Amino acid sequence: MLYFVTDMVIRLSQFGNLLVSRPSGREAYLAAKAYLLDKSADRIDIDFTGVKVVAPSWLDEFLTPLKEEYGNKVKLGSSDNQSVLASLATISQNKADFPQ
Amino acid sequence: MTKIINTSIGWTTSALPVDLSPEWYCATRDVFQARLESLLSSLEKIKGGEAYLLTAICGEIGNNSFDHNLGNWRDVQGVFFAFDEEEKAVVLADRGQGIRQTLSRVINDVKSDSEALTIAFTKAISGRFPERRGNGLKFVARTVKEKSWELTFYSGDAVLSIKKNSALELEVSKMNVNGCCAILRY
Repeated sequence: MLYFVTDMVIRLSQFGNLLVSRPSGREAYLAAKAYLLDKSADRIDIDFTGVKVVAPSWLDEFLTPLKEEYGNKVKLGSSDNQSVLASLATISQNKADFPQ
Repeated sequence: MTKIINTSIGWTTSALPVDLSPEWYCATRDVFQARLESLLSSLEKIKGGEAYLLTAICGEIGNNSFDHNLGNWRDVQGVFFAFDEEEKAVVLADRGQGIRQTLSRVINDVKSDSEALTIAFTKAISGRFPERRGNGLKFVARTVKEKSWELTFYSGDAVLSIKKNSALELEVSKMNVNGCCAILRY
């Protein structure tokens, strides 16, 4: 029997390259939930490519509810952007909560 | 002190608000976001990848002012936001409720402005209970220390300093800041 794994990618740059406030993070999550997220997806990749600045407040509003709803299906893409790395470290006391 | 530091301190310590230059005043979050993009553009030329981290710090501090004072400003809504490329300094200030008053909504016995600043910069607690917040200023403190930048943060009669190669310091200030005033040197 064949099983197909459905993988979806959310490109954060679609929400801008300067992601800093809680209201805009919340708005981005709600927009993704309404128009992007697929309940049947086996894996949701978060792509940071093209994002210049992300602050922990924005990331908390976007990633935390995503993680609560989709659990370990959420996978973070790699990044060498200093604000991405520092903000991820801030919102996830345990890195295992946000596996890459 | 530079002109932007003097102006921000004058603005936050006066009993009544003085008029600000439009180029330094952000009445709404949208204006602040636009000015933040301008800061990023300037910093990228001189700081490279560190510009993103500096901008994130400024975004956290400025948006905190809006998050915690919306509908509850002391008199003037919005933030003072200015930077000086030659002095390598960014200043953000507001005439909001201040850290102690904000935290007093969720912690009963915050005895002083100094204690409030200590809690705000070292513990994960937010004045906007039951929302899950409270990491922004910890992110600011940790990043400033790791990068060997400097931060001076006034609220009420307290001043918190993070200086190069030293621990976080708290003092009682000679002046009373009506709200918050943050001076970041990079």
